[in-house]
Amino acid sequence: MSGCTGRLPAPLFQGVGFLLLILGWEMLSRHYSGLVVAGPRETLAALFRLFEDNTFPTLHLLPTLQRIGLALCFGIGCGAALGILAGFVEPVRLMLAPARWILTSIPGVIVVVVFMLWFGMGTTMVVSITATMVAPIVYVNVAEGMMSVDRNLLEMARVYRLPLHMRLTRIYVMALAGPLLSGAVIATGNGIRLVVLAEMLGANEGIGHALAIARTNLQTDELYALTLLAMLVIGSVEVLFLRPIRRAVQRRRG
Amino acid sequence: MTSIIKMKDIHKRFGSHTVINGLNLEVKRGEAMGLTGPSGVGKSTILRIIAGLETPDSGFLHVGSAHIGYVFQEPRLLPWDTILHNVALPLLAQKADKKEAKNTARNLLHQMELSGFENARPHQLSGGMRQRVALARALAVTPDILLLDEPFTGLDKILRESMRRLLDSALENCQAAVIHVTHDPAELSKKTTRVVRLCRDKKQCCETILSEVS
Repeated sequence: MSGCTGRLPAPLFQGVGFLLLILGWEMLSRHYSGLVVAGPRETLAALFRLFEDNTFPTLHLLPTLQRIGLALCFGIGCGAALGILAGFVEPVRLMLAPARWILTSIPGVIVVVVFMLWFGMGTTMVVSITATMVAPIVYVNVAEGMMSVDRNLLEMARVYRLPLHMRLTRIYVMALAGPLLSGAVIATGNGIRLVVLAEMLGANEGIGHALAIARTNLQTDELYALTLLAMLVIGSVEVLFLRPIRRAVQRRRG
Repeated sequence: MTSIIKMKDIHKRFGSHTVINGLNLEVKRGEAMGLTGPSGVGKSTILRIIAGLETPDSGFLHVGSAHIGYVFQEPRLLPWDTILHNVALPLLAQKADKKEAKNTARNLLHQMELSGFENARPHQLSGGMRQRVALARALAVTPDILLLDEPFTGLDKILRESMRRLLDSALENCQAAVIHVTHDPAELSKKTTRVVRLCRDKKQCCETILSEVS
């Protein structure tokens, strides 16, 4: 969001906030041992080292990105589909309520352990955990969005006998775009965190697995570098995909 | 002239509140009729029943056409679509040719004195302009029945007069049976030949009695 706070532009304040964060991090790293807190420079150096190793992208980065992509596709797709269904059919919404409650209140780490028992280690487990935990977030947003679709517009559509596909594309999709995108933004952040967590606990490759190794070997700088990388992945998905979609929807909505 | 709308002994309740109690109403093809009465006697409900938005609890209902144009109290335009698309929408729903639908919509907007606003979004227009778009949309389907539910609500006196003038010119070449719900008979178009006043019986306040005034 670009705006102006007093006479100074908002990005300036954001930049200052970012610099303060880096400064705080640097001061902490100087105060504590490098084993406890790796400094910004050491973290960046470790990040470059990771990419100098040709096996890192194929062994860890790509599997994680694939899992994130798959999990978000399944999770957001299922959540949105169920949300739309729940919006149309009240009994479905009521029947899904307990499952939604359980999945949104259960700690992620418990789901990881249970899914490891069910699916073993690897991609299936990571993707299913993440999709399962992401779907309810999107579901809640879409189901609530369905309930807030303007009834007056739906009546207008009935009077002018708009076919189902026109109702979906002209009314529902536009009305749901906002809640769906909000859900997708939260789901993306949570999803990426969950993929890394699941990989850390039960996978033989991926950023999470690399994190687990770095932790075991007390390579704090690498641990920080991998964390930074995970944050960069979240930021890239938001900047490259979600923000342009949001802007396009806002333009269309006027 | 044959009746396009026939309502016989229609009853409608919302919970414990009886809105329509034994309504009889006939509207002939091409006839323009005014429907007045105090608030809560069921004027809008009658239009909603004719449009299929409400189902009567009992009674006989015959609506002789599916080509219905409806101007609601509020414009009910798609906020994310242009004015042109909003007017063309019912035609596209009828699988009309896209180009033809847009041309018809453009002509109707011209008739409603909205030329130049084709690409505007509803929020960029004033209340009166939005209501004119809703009227253009209702006329786009070449309706056999045109339902107007207090379409001038919320407009000032000058805008109401201008809307009435536009309605007059729009109805000049329109063969639709028109039911115009209003509190103010002065808003009715020149074409109106009959005004039906709905009133509550003072002794039985839930009963709705229909009486022809002129």
